[in-house]
Amino acid sequence: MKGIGLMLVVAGAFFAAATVASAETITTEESVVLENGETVSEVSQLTADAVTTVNGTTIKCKKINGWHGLKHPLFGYFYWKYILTIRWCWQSGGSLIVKTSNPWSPTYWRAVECCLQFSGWDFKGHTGLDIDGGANKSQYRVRAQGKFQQCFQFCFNTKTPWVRLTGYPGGSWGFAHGN
Amino acid sequence: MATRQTVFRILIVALLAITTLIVLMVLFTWGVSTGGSGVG
Repeated sequence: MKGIGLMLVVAGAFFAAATVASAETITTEESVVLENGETVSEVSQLTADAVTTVNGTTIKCKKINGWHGLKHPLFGYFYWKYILTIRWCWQSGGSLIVKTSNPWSPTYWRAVECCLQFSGWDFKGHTGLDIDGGANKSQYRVRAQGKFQQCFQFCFNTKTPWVRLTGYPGGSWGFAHGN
Repeated sequence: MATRQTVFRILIVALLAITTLIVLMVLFTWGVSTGGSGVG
């Protein structure tokens, strides 16, 4: 009976810890510092604002993010999220992506929120990156892919989420994601 | 009588172990893929 009691106590403590566990945010890449010393978080405040006026032209920029995650269907918590962010700029009224340095564009960031405590999930790194278009093109498209594995004594679950974001001159954008 | 008690204990422990395993699987291996996007 003492053994059963001990087992119940251990199981209870484990579930209590698992319930209150929250996903710890880990950024896999260092934050980007722009030429003027701004960090990415500060630059996000400039989203979709006109940022530069050179010889009378107006440049507009937009920053969007897309993510793919694994979620518990009943309780709604996330085991992990794979996040891609892009920013691109265009000349107002123009049809091409323009390169800017303040804020830096076109550019992208990859990040992960990893992972639910005690779940065994771990981020194994970025596995793919495709960039299409960019400066002087009619679109800026980035597709990023990462790898997550669920392991205890051995690994028994692997996911390779990908996110694709496409930005167009004028500010319209597209999003696709998958496993 | 002692044998019956031992069998009963083994059954209880086995039941607890199986229940624990099922709860663990439901909590940590059941997942659905989802995604989203936004500005900013």
